[in-house]
Amino acid sequence: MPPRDPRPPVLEVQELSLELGIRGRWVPALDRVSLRIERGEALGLVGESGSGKSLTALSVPGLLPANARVTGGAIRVMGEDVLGRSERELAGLRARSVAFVFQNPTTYLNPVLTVGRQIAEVFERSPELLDPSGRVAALSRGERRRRARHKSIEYLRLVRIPDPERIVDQYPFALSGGMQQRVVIAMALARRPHLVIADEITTALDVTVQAQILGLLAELRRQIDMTLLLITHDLGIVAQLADRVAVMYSGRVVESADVRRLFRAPRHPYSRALLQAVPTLHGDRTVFRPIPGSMPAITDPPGGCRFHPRCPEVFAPCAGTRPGLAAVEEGHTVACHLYGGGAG
Amino acid sequence: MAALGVARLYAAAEHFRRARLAAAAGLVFLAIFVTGLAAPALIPSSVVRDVKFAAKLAPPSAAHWFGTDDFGRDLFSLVLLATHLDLRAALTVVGAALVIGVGLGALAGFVKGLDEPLMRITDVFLSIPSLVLAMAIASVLGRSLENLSLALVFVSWPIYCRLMRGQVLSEKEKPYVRALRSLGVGRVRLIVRHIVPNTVFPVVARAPADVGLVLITLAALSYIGFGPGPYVPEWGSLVAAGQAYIFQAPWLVLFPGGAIFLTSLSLNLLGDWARDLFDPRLRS
Amino acid sequence: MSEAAALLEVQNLVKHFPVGDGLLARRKGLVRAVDGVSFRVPHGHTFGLVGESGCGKSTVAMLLLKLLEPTAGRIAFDGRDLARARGAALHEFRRRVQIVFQDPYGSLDPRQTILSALIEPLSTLGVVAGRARAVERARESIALMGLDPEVLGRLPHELSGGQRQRIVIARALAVAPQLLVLDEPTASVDVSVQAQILCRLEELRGAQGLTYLLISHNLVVVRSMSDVVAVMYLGRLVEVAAAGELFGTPLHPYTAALIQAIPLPDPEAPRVAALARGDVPSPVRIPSGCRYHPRCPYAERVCRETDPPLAEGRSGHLAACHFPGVASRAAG
Repeated sequence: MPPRDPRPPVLEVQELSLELGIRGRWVPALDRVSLRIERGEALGLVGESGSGKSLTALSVPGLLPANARVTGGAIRVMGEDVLGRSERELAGLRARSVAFVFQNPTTYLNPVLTVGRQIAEVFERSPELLDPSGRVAALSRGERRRRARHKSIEYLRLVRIPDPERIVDQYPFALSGGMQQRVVIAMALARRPHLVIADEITTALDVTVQAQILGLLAELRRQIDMTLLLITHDLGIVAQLADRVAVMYSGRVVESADVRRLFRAPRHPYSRALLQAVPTLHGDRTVFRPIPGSMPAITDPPGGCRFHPRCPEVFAPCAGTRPGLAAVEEGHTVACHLYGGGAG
Repeated sequence: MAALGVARLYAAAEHFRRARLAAAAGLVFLAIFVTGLAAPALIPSSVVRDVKFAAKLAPPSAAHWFGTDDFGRDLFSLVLLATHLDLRAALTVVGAALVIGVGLGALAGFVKGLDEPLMRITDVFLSIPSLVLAMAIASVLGRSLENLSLALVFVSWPIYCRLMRGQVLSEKEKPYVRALRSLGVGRVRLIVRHIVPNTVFPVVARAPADVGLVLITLAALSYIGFGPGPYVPEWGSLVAAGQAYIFQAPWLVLFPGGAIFLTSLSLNLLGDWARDLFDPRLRS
Repeated sequence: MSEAAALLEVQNLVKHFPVGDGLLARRKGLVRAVDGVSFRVPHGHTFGLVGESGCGKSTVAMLLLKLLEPTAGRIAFDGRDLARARGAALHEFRRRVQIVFQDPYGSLDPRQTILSALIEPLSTLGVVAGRARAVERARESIALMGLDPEVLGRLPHELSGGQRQRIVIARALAVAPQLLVLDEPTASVDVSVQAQILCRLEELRGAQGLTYLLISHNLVVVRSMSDVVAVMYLGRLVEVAAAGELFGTPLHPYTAALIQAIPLPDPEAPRVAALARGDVPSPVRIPSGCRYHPRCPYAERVCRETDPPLAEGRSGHLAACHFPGVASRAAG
């Protein structure tokens, strides 16, 4: 194991709890979620719909919906607290520190502005990006615009868009879904953020285009040492890109481990069942086993361990006590009574 | 994402404010409606011919709550009778226009061959200003309240037809319609049991405001002289008649004019609220 | 290929959509959504149709269900040409062929209770007589898909995505069809629900003697369920083979690209390879020669000039390529 970086981690989520207002009631949606991402690391946050992975991701740059309220815990980006900051401070955070890439690039891009203009908006917001020596105020507007355009083309090239000098003047509708997603990634990277959060960014794309984007992300990680929080339901994507994985179920993190350890020896019954439920191409035709039952609705969760009604290894303490996180080996934690979590 | 939440909250707050206004408006309209219903029973229609020139243009008093008009007739009775006639006319007009417009619109949206001709017909109707069209029809048919109402039906149905057709056209492409066709559901059943119930409500939500509009149009027609004459109590013609005496006897314009105002205002507020029910931003 | 009698036979199916506008409908172009597709599905088999967006697979489904009329080509169900099916014959066809669409939420009338949605086709298609029998059949189908009977009284928006998907399948099965076309049956559900539904479908196929046409962009799902798989690209089939053979030895570079593009849930497995360059093209402007050539890393001059026919590359394995097997050879 490489020595732990003494600087603060890029992202630290500690015991984050969150409630959603649904039909007049406050319902717990996240229950003491903890995550940690070191510099240059890629963490895959995996879960099915309703697991709370998107909510967790949205809470970092302060993009939660109006009917969400945080009821506990802390979020720290580069060591600085994020919760309780004003909207203005959060906007600043989003502008420089944390870049969020959404699932559907078409709805994210402004249809009436050219691609170049949209990337250049990043530089309008943060002009210091245009001149590393800091003498930006001395530059004329024309010079700033010229540099912004030049940088936009650079970033388009970084995301492997062919013929960037031409694309920079195109409108989003002229581009395919894959190209649009690359533009959005370029917009995210232009900020030179500390953390990039990618929320299901390939779900809306065809599989051959998805392969290109995944390849791009892998290269970018190598090239610019990008720190990545990857939200996905696809275990294949996690296996390809992530260094570490956190598995979420019904608002809780149930297992957290190095990616190889998780796939080779998953400990939590849900992680194991999830891996078995994914049909794979290797080997015989039908190689998947479904998990009986379904994820509980957040309005009506089971007591104790949330997975216990569906768990093949359920035993005495599961229905009554919520399992705490236990370390089964270095860097590998599981929230399950089988591993002596005790009361969580 | 946060912006979406804020928009929802704002829309919900607006909706709530409108809902309270709408409740008040609903009560007002209900009162007017009940008055209109009861009027023929409470007030003999002979009042209309009860001309007493000696008592003409008397101000409001204990004997005559709204005063008297230039024929010496009790204005209060006239306004009440007019409530009955006007409401009946306006509601019938909008009701008929809805039925015709929705029916033809559904057909136009669903049956390709009928779409073009129907749309061209509605184009013709919509290109003529409604007041002018109503005047033209009334001058041909005669100036009774019934003929005026008929004229207004002609004027009102095209917009419902267009709206309904648009709704049906887009609903037709929805996946569940395809699914139902693959399940052997025939075209008639498809329109009647599935498409119309899913599309008609936003169209109908316009109706309350349109009733107010029809009232005002009736009043306008009467005002410019196309009304049914002084022996048929109608708000518009009461206002038109009272106009000449506006400085001597302002109550002649105030009371019937106020009735028009209150009725169409309350209907408009009700219409706002009805349309809010279908605001997609509030769907959650 | 199996010698069993074909339940469904498709020959040179073509569907072109004119791109024109206005009253005069001047033809500005042609969308060649389906451009000459032929295949046969034997009784009791599962035929998988794979392709990305714009390849025309959903249009094929609509044509097979007679929700669209073909521009050219022949569709025969159980030996009978569908072209002239009307009235009672059409009804009988609809009883025997059913489809489950993508988007289970959209597939249900939002104002209809589930019970009503299930019994409606039973009466319109004349499957059962009388409401009591229909309700009973509805209950059976619901139970068959592993759902609680209490969903019958609910409206679609009150149910989860997984439940809705099961309901639309139950609705199709209640009619007791012979052929079930499944258009992306698990695209909108989670992995665990997908596994449940696919397993159920597989069990039912054996138990009820069904034949499936499975359409999906998800190769893994298609592979796990199908006997024969066809790969579709820009309105044509580019490769057809038995499932194991297709995935083991893909002959067409596009098939290889699709297979290599799937991220395997195994960190030790090779990384995804983006073998297909550029973007999925639109069916309005179809490239000259081989349709795939602009994206193909192995394209030669002949590929730009001549459109390769779908021909047998190995025994029982068809591919439309001038250099079949080039991708597998390159991979070593």
